[in-house]
Amino acid sequence: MAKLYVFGIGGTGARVVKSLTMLLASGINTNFEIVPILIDPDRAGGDLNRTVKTLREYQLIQKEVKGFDQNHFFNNGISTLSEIIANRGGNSTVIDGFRFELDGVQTDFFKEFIDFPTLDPNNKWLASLLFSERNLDSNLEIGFKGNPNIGSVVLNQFTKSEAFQAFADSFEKDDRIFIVSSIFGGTGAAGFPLLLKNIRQGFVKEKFYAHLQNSVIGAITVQPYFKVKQDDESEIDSHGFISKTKAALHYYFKNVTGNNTINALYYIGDLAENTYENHQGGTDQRNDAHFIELASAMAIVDFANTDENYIRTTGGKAENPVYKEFGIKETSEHLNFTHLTDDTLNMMKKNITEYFYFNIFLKEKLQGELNNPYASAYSNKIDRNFIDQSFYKTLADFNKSFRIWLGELQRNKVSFAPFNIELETSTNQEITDIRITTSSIFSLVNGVREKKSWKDYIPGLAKNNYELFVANLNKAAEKVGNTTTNKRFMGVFSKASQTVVNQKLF
Amino acid sequence: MNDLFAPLFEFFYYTVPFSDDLYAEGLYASLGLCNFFISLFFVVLFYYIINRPAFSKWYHWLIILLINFAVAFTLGVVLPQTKFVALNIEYHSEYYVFGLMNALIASLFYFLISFMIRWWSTNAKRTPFPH
Repeated sequence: MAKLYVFGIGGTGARVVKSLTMLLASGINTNFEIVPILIDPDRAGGDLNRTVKTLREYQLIQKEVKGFDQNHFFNNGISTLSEIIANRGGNSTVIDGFRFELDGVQTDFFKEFIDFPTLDPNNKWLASLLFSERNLDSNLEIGFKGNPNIGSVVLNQFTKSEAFQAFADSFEKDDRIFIVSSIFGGTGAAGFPLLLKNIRQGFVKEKFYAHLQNSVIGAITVQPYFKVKQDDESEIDSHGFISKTKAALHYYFKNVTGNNTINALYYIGDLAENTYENHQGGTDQRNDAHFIELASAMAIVDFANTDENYIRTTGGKAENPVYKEFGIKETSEHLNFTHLTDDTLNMMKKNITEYFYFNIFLKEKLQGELNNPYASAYSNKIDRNFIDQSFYKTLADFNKSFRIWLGELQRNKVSFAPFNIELETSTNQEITDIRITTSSIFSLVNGVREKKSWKDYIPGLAKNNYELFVANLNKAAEKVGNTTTNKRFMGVFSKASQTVVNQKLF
Repeated sequence: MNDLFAPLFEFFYYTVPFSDDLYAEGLYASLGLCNFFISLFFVVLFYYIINRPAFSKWYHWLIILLINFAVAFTLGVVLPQTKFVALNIEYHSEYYVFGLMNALIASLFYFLISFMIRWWSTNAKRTPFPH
């Protein structure tokens, strides 16, 4: 299968990849093996670590159900670059857990990174013109703190790294590349054009890669969608977001869109009415998931689904580059499915809803419903022992991340609340889980009315709520038949979730 | 048919001349067939018509069995009584003891048919207890 290398640059890149992982878990398929490459100098970044954890859990689950056509959750493969190399029999020493180290940023200050103390006086003056004293004294370990001028110098290192060469070696003819970055920060704003330029040149460590030069490349450049609190001690100041965006767009006009180096460029942004805590980096940089990130993840799916005849590259130039913007039907502070356009809904409404019900059933009901035929009438039983196994524990962890992700989407501004859920928070206001407060589970999709049949008008005749879900699980179990417990479990729940959502909602 | 069911009924209850009269009037055949079809109806009702997760516990199965029992008991009393009264044959407590035995035989049918056809029920294939 062809691969889609998704470069997630900086904090926004990591959060978009997390949203993509949630979409893929819900059954959205790109027809590409996804290879996330997260580039962020901030190794301790809270968002980056959450994304990496989610990706690893996804992989563990996907490995168990790979190739099982009765299941549609976790259908799309996700691999690390090192796995791709290993599968090709390569002997690269690159070991990645989706994220890539940037040489020299672990302990260095920027002035040491560019060898400022040893520069001759003329170059020192030049460097002082390009970088402020604060820039030069900047600790690179926690990122570029909104300074693309630093980012562009440091990230240049990545394109000379062994990891980048491994990427180039593994890149094949039908593979594609997608780059996710924010335009208003430091790491992403600097990384995207740099990466693009290096890929289009086709040279990595003086070796020429024709496939790479003629690759089909898409990107999303995320414009400001949040502010950070004013903090005189911090180098990050959201007052500069708009001017940085304008400057970067001007640069892209000449060096990205203006010279046909990109095949598909997606633009997205918001009014930036929400304000995050001002953390320059580290574990504290852990922002709530945002609808903009979900929409950006959908751009990746859209790009993957674009027919190659529409986005060809010849001689390192995109033949017919496409530029897209994301839009919704009407502006509102509180979005749900009714605010989204048909294209967006077709892409994700059913899948997200099916996974939501699967998730809620596992959280609320599974342990009390293990005597039903779907669980206990087959030789590979879904029982207490299964629940104690690592597969289920990993799935439960992933599902919790999914629920927290939904909760964060709801809490953020703009709020995206497709489901009627309540949030559980810790003392420091982090969302720890969600809960539902009704037993009428098919009334949980905001803006969508539960479908009724004639049976619903005769008291006691229709199966409703969780009973309907269990009935569909029992039916699905007959179709799935006997296979390994993990596959059977996923197949049964995948089919039943699909059926209940079709019967009662869409 | 009478000869087929007679040993079953008489295994549970045999008293002369009541049992001989039941045999002579062909009531074993009628009651045997009634028991079978009524039990089949209730089993099909439970496993295939009701067939829902919320009504698939062992005690739900027992409720239907008790209804089957009550119907069979009523038939076991009313059918012989109607026949023998019309023939001016007089019995008293025999009707009720036979009715009870008839209900037991119907319950046996219910039990056996349940285990024969429950495999294909979607929601109750493990009721009244796991296989």
